[in-house]
Amino acid sequence: MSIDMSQFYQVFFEETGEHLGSMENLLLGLDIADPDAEQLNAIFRAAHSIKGSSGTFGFTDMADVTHILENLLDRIRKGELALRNEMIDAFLAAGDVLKGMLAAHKGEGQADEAAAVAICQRLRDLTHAAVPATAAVAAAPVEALVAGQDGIEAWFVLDGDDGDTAIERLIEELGDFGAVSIINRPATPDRPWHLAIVDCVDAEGVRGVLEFLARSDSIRIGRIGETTTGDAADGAYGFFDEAAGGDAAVTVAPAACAPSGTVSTADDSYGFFEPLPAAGADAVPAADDSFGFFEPLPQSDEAAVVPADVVPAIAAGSEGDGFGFFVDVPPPAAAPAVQPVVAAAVAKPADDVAKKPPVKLAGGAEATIRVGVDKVDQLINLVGELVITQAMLAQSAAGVDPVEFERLHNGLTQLERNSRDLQEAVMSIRMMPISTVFSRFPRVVRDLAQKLGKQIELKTIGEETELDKSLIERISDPLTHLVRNSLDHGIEMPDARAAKGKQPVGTITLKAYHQSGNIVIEVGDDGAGLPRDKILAKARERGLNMHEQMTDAEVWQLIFEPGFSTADQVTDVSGRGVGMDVVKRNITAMGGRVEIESMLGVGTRMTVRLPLTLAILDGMSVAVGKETYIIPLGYVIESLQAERSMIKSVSGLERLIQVRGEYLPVVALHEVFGIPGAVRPLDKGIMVVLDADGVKAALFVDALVGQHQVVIKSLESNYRKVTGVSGATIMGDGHVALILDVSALVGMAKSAMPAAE
Amino acid sequence: MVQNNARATAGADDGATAQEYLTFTLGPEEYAIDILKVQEIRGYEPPTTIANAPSFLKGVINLRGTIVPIVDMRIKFGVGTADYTPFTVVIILNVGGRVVGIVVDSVSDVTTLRSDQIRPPPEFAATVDTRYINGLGTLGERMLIVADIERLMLSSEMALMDEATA
Repeated sequence: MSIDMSQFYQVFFEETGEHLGSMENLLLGLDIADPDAEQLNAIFRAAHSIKGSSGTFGFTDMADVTHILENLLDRIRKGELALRNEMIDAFLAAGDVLKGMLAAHKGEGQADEAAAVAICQRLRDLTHAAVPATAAVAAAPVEALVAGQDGIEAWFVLDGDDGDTAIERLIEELGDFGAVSIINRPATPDRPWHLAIVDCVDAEGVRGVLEFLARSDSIRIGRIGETTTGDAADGAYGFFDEAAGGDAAVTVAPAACAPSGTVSTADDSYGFFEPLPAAGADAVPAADDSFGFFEPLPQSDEAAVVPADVVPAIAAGSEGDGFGFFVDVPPPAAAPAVQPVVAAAVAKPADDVAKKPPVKLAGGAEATIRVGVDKVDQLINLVGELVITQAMLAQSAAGVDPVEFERLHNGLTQLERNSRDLQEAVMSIRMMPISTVFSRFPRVVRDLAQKLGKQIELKTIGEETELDKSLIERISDPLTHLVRNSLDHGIEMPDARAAKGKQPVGTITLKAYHQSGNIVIEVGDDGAGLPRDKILAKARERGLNMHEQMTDAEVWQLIFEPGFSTADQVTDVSGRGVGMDVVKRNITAMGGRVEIESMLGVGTRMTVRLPLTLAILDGMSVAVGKETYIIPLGYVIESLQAERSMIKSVSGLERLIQVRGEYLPVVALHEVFGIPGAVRPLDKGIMVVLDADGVKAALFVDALVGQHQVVIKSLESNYRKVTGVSGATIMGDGHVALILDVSALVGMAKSAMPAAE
Repeated sequence: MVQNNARATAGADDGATAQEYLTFTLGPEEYAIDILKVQEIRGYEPPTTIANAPSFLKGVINLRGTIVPIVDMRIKFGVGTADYTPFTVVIILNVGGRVVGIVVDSVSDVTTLRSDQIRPPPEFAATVDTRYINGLGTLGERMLIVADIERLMLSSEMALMDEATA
C-alpha cells in the first residue's frame, strides 16, 4: 500500500528551493524598523510550506529547523517581538542551513549537522529571550488566563478510549502552534475537551492535528474571546471558525462582527448554506452538495472584494433562504458533518484569500506550468525546421509567375508571417527575466559589505529584461564575481569616502537592458575607479605586453589577464588575481564581451554584452569557392574590397593589409580550409575585418552573400569538433553551412601560416 | 538453395539464434549489418564539405534538422569506384546514440542469418580490420561479411568523434 514518495521528491526539491529563495528575498527586502505585515506573512507562509512539505516527505531535519524558524517568525508577525537585525541574520543563516540540507537530500554534498543544531539554538534563543511569560502560563488551566490573549480555542471530543495518552500527545502536538492550556477537562470521555492555544493563528493546522485524535465531527475551533460561550460544545456554532483558518463559513463570522473591510467570501458561503437541511439525518448529502458548490470558489478573488457595507447588511439578518441559518440555528449534527469536507475542499484557497489582502491576489494567481527543458528544446528545433521548410517553399515559389499563382504567393506570405511569429513565441518560452540572477545579489552584497565593514546600497534596474534560460544559468557566476570585485576593490571604506567628500554609503548599480539584439548588463560602482598607473606598473612587473601609450580601454583590459591583481593585500574575498580572467573567458564562451569604463575617484562600470540566446545567431554569410560559411555578426567590424596599395607583404608573402592606419594580418579562408576554386588575388575578393577579444584580423573570402539569423546546430552531437568551426546551421535551401569560429581563425593568423603555395 | 531458405525460415521461427541483417555491396564485396542499427536509407545528395577532414568523410548533410556526417565506405575501404550517380545510396545508421550516414554502392536486401550460418573470420590481412568483422555469413553461393558496424563507426579509425569521447 505504501506509495513511492520518491517520484515526488523532484517536485519537493524544486518547490522548496523556490520557497527558500523567495524567503531570502523577502527577508532582504524587509524594513527592519517598520516591517510590512504582508511581507512578514509571506515569509511565514514560505517557512510554513517548507515545513509542511518536508514533513510530508519525511525530511524531518528540515522540518525541525523550519518549525523553530516558523515559531519565531510567527511571534514577529503578530508583533510580539520586535524585528531586529540579528533575527534577519539568523533567518538568513537558517535559510542557508536549509539549503544545505536540501542539497544533501538531493545527494549533492553533506548537510552540516553542527550548523543545524547551532541555528536551531540561535533561533530558539531569539524566540524565548523576549517572551518567557507565555511558557509559564501554559500549565495553568484557568480560562481567565487566556481570556485577554490572542489565540485559538478548541472544543473536541476525543476519539477512542485511551483518553489520557491521546490528550498528552495532542497537547504535545499542539505545542507546536503555541502555548496550550486546558480550560475544561471533561468528566466523561464523550464530553468535549476545551483547550486554548495562545499565540496561535493557524486554525487549520490545529484542526489538522485534532482530526487525527478527535472525532472530526466534534471539533470546533475559534479565536479566543470571539467565540460564543465556551460550553456550547454541541457544535451548533461550528461554523464560527477563526478567520485565518479559512473555512468558507468562517468569513461570515468576522463579517458579522467586524465593522468593515474583512475579507469575505460571504456570497459564496451564503450560497453554500442554502442546501443545509433542517434535519440532522441529512447531514451527509448536505456535505456533498456543499462540496460541489465549492468548485467555483477560486472566483472568490472577486468575491473577496465584496464591499464592506454589503457584508454587515447581509449579516444583519436578511430573511433570505441562505441566511436563515443565522437566524435559526441549524440542528447540531448538520454543521459539524459538513465541516471536514469543507475544510478539505477549500482549506488551501480560502486560506490564501483570508490571509492576503485582495490586491495581492493577482501575483499569486499567476498560472504557470513546469515543462522539461528538453521538451522546449524539441519545440524550438521543430519550429526551426518549419522555418527552414517555409524558406525552401518561398525559394521555389519565387520561380513561378506571381500573377498566375497569386493565391499561392499570398498563402506563402501568410505562412512566413505565421512561422516567424511562432518562432518568436517559442523562443520566448526559454526567456526568463534577469531578475532571477539579480535577486541573489542583495544577499551577496549584504554579507560581503558586513564582512568588509563597508556600507553599500545595491540598485537594480531593468530586472524584467529577458534572456535565454541557459544564459541565465551561465551568467550568474561571472556577474557575482564582478559584483564582488566592485564591492571589494571599487567601493572605499566609509571614512575614506567621507574624506573624499562622497556619501559614506557606496552604490553598486546592476542594470540590464536590450540593445540591438544583445542584452547588456552593467555592473557599476561609485568607488575609487581603476588606478591606471598601478595597473601599468603591475603589468610591467609581470612582463605583460604593454606600453605607456596604451589607451585607457586597453589598460583596463589588462585586468582580465590571468593572475593579474593590483590588490595590496589578498583578502578572502578577492585579490588573488584569479577570477577576472575566468569571468572574461566565461563571457566570451557565451559569445559575449566585457568592456570597462572607469574614472579615478568617480567609479567603474563593467559592461557585459551577451547575445539574447545561444540558439540563434546573427550571422553574415560569405562564399568561398562553392562553399558558404557564416561569420557571427558580433565579430565583424567592417568588410571592404582591398586595393592593391593596401596589401603589404612581409618576407615575400602578402600577409598584411593596411586598414585605417592599422596593419592587420590576413587570414585567407580558402587556405585555412583548403577550399578549391576560390579567388586567389587578395585585391579581387572581400576582406572582412574581425575583432575577436581585442585581436583584429582580416578574413579573406570570395564574396559576401547576405545577413541571416541562423539557428545554431551542434556539429559535435554526431561528428566532432572541427578547428575553425564553431557549429553548423541549415540554410534556406536545406543545405548545411558551417559557422566560423572567429577566435580560432584569428588565432591562426597569429601562429605561423602555411605557405601560400 | 531451397533447403537453405527453408532452414533460414525455420531459424527465424525459433528466434533465439537468428538475426536480421541489411546487406549492401561495396564493389564486389557484400556486407551485412545489424538491421537494428539502420535508421533509414536515402539517396545521395552532395554534402557540405568539412575542411581538413579525411577524404572518406564527404561532409555533413541536413537530415531533418540534424547535422549528420557522411562517410563514403568505398573510399574508406578502397573498394569500388567512388562515383556519385542518382542510384548511389546512403544508409543512415544510428550507432551509440549518434547518427551517421554511410555511402555504399547498393543495398541488396534484408536477410535472416542464424548463428550457425556465420563462421568466424579467418585471420587475414584486409583493409577492414578483422576486429570489426563478426564473421562470414554464407547464403547459398554468397559470402556476406558480417560487420560490427557500431564498433567500426565509433572507432578512432573513423575519426567521427573527438578523441576524448571516443
